[in-house]
Amino acid sequence: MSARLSAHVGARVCILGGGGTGIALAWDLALRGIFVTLVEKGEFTSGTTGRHHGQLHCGARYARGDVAIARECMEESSLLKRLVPQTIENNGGLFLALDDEEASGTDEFIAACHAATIPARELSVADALKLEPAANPHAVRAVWVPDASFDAYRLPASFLAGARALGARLLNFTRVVGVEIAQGKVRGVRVLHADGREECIPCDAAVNAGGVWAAEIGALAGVHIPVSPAPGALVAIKGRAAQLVLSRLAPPGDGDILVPQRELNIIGSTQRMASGSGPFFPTAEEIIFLRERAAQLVPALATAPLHAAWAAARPLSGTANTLSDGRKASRNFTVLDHGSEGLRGFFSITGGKATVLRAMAEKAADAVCAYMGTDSPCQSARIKPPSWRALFAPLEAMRVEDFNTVGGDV
Amino acid sequence: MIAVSIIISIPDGATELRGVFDPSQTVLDVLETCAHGPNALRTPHYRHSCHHGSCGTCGAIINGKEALMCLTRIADLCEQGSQECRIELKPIHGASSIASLSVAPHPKLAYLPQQASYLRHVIDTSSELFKLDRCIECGLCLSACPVDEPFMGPAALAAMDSERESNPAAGPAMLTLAAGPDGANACRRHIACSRVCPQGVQPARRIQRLVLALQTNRNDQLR
Repeated sequence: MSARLSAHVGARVCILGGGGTGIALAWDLALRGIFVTLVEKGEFTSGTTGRHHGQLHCGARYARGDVAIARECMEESSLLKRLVPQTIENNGGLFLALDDEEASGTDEFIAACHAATIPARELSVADALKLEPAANPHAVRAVWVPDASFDAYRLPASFLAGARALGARLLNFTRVVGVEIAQGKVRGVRVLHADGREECIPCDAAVNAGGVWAAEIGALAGVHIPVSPAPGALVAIKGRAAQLVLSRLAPPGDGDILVPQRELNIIGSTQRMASGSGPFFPTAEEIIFLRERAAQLVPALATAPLHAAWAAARPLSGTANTLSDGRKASRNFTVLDHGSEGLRGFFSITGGKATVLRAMAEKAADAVCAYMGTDSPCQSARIKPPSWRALFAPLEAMRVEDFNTVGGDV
Repeated sequence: MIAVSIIISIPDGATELRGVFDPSQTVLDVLETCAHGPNALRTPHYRHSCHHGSCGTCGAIINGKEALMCLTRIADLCEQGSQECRIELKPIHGASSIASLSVAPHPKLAYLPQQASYLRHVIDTSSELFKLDRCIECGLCLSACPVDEPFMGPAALAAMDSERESNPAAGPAMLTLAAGPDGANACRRHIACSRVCPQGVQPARRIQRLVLALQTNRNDQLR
């Protein structure tokens, strides 16, 4: 333990919310030598992260709408493929135009991808069908992109295992019940443990990474967080009909993504706006709709058996008033510094998406470190976390130097 | 809709939760509803992280049989038209408790070969496309396996055989791992593992492949 502690810079940060974002932040901050406590009311990754379809976006889906998000997805997905390769099926993706109207946008789509550094390239439909024999043979045009799918549990669990190895304190089944404030500064976080014990955890800064629960956590600190849950249904179909990530060559809409994963094809998704944080369940109509849409991309899915159906709530930034159409809402993320509202040392991450979890963590960690006067640079873009299997292995305290980097040893 | 009574039995005692649900909903959906309703504080802690049988964390003994809560529908447990559905949940055997129903991964998952890949060729070894291994490390096979002599268990042995198949170069190393007295030959062919595996890994069949390969190796050495 002593070797690890000697690297600490002495600063303590509490992260509130143990989904993909909070976990990536715990790993990023721990790599900077900061003592992290991660608090999660349920099991880690049991909220929106634990309902994800697992698409690792190269950004093509967003290229025509927001080039900055598309470019960031391209950078982050490339990085994750090197950082956590054992959790990613790196098989590429196809965008298919199924009618002339969808096909008319192909050139603009490819140009938008290139503007975002995404190496999209058009294939003849015959070549696309060789690559993906299950695809609709009546497709009009096809574009290959470097999409991938990932294990939505094992990828964040690898970062969690890394944070644990660096000495982060991981508190699952632990509720945040209050934020201790003195002279306008965060001094600690009060939590309720699974066994009913209360504890005040002193800290120099706290980051609200609550996702769709961020407003509830913010309220404990007296700050308003504009976040809107946008639940949607997902359906998993038995069998590996398609091998590549398949998307409709049309503006993002409902039921236009097929994500192969393990022995399944997962159809994503519908989107509606809701108040409250759930739980949300899919409706029978949503399941039928998603199956019909997916069968347009892969005809064999019309008859393949249903494996599971569930619903996930995206944490869109903004309030229901400003988000009349969730699909038009930005999937960008924001790091809020509540110092301007008179609460120094309290930060919130809102919005975002799973593919950019590490980038969200880096930006939030930069803001927190600047506030605490710590100048440790970000290392999470360089250092590979251990396997998810290390999460429950006997704890061996490690130092940053013990980990491998994407370019080889440290 | 059907009235559901879930009895959760853990070493500390039993808790009963009641509600009315659509029979197509899963055991996990029932717990999720209870955990967010007026019974929130009485709802035991449980793990889940995908809702489609991929993470492997929501395994439990459901009405006496190991299964994933996210893939077990109320309709799978109770006959159509019955007045009330009674569901008994227990933590899986052999894993240490985190809190109530939630358990740490089964300790015998530590025998999974660390050098083996978690990615498999999609079709055969000529394929450049990869998919995640079928095994989701849920530990249901390890909970169901009745062998009580020293035995590394079906999960690790199945992984060794899968690795042998998708990466022939690793074959000898995998056979060496499986050759010990607690390896493939400690299997007593109860086949409980294959019966409960939610992923169709068929560990019992894979263990028999290892037993045969080890036998062939021995015969070759005698010759």
